[in-house]
Amino acid sequence: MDIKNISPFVIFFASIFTSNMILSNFLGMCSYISVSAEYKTASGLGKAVSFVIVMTTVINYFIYNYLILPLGLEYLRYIVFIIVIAAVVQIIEMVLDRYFSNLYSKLGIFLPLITVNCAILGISLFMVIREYNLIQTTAFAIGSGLGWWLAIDALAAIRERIAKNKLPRGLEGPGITFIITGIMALAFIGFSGIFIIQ
Amino acid sequence: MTILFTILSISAISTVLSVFIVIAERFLNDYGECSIDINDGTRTIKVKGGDTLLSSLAANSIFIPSACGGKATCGLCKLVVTGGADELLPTEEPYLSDDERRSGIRLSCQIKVKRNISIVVPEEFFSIKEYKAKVERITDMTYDIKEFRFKLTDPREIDFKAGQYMQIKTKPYDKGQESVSRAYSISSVPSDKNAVELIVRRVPGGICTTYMHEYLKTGDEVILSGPYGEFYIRDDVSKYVFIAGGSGLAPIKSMIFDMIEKGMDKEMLFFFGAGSRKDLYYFDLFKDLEKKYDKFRYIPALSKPEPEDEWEGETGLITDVVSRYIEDEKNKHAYLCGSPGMLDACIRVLEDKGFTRQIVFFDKF
Amino acid sequence: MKQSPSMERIQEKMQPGRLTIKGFLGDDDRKLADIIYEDHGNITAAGVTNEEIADRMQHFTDIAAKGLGSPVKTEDIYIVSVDDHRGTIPCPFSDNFNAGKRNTRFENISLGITIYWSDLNIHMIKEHGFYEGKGSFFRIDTKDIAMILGLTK
Repeated sequence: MDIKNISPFVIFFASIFTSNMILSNFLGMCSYISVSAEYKTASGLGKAVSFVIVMTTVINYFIYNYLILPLGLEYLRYIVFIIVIAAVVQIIEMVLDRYFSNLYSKLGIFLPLITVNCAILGISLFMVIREYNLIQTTAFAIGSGLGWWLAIDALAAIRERIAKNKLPRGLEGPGITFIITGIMALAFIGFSGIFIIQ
Repeated sequence: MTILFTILSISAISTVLSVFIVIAERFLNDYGECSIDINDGTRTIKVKGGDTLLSSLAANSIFIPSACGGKATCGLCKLVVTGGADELLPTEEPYLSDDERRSGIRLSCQIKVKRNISIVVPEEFFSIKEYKAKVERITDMTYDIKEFRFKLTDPREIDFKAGQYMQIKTKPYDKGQESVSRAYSISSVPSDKNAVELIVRRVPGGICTTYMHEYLKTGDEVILSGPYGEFYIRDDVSKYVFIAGGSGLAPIKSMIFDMIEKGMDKEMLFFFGAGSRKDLYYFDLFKDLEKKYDKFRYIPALSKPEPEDEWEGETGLITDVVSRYIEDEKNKHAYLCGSPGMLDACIRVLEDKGFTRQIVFFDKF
Repeated sequence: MKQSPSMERIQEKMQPGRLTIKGFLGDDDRKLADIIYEDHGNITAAGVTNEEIADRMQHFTDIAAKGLGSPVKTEDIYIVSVDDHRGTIPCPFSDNFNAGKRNTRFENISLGITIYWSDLNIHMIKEHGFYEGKGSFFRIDTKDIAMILGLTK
């Protein structure tokens, strides 16, 4: 399969299942682990992260291909991408504060922490490395966002189910969360091979 | 050349993004003018959206009780919101029971006024005002109790019932101490319209009492709000029993002197419980009152008098002393003020003597 | 260990000057979750539970309360007294619990140890397993507390 010309649909499905940002690439773990205790909050964060991913990746695509490349400033991509991510997160903070203040309050510090979610920077960088065109980029961004959202939803649902159960001492909190994530990742390995995009 | 391009590009991108953020903020943070409908149209006020309900009301001279200044810690600022508020915030949840939530009760310090909102405010809140005052006099009463006299500057007059309390707002002092509000009963009489006197006992580690005992000086400006409370004289009987301990003497002093001033011809029995002579204050004041007014009797009781006190009055726990003097509840009301432990113990003694809850009054704070 | 936003808010309320002058954390600069975790370990190692500790403290406070400020001797080796003030202090865990400002002075004569606790401490130990930070006036070391209170040898 020619890596450069993969169908956007393949990219879309692959980024949700076989190349899931969390479960296959282990990116964006920070807020994933910390905010997955309550399902509603986790789901809210998932939506916020997805939105940020799509917005920033598309904006970064345009900036990279129409500003940075022509001027030969590839080395600036890290700084520029982060600046864009920070700005988009600022705006989404204001939107949440205005229209979804309950979620805004529950997320607390983890909302501005989206800025340093490595999955978001990672997706923009992957877009650059794999030289996706606009449609591929969009498919990749939407798929990765949905994949991250799916992963945190699944984890939060499982954590809520086992919340009342007694765990071996020391495993409460992060301990059991990592184990669950690991098992989910193992399960998702079952998808690998169906689509290969990386 | 490359350096120039680098700097220009990054600056350009940052500027464009900043402009976007500023525009977004202008648009998203501007809630415009909102109206607050109070008590089903009885009163409507227009406010600039974006502030909390508590502060918006305060800006319009409607003061809702609050001890923590809007930080969702005291749970005092509850109001019924009939429409226009966002979903319940996690910071409010612990303070509202299921029944309260169903009735639409919210913490007014947590609700942001984003659109037209309608609320219900209890009548008694409308008489609560905020007063600017100056410290006129500070008197040491005992080793840990001081009396503060505040002269009201704006507004200059206050209307209150003897027994009610004020809230005082501290100023931040020392490292990290924020502004808090605490309640103290008024010890001066209502006829003294241009001032209020508060009796403050020092609480170890307490933010407000430390502020008042160590930092407040004559001439300093303070902010008081009030009057608050349901603790005041009911003119239904002929005999009154007053029991106080520590700083609880404040509202009782106000009540006794107010009743005498108004010429209410009542029999008054006043018990004051303390540890030893050094905890007694206003001893001479009440002893003199006993001489002037034969229907007033003052019974101070010391639970552990020191030998050097040369105490000849009643000794023992206040509960025992009260028990010795009171036989029954006929034609009597009882007014109590003091620490929770003392209150509970004395209420039990009164109940044994036949007093029902309807005729025993105390301030629950 | 990174804490959830709600724990961060609670730790904020425990800082000096928010609810009391000195706050609840003494000079302990660990995260609140870590403090509770370590104390939980010590208590379990001593063979008791937070509830048992809190109930025992409440038992002594109730006995002391009868003295209305004067010391009371109990079980031959303990002298307890309370110091009561008007007003309430809200629990920093934001659970709508308001404790009276009552401090209990507890002296274990046979061990020669005197400790202090407030009504709020009893609540925080029972409901949240929080014994205050190291260096705080009301902190009683979790390695010794069971023994001081006479629950273990």
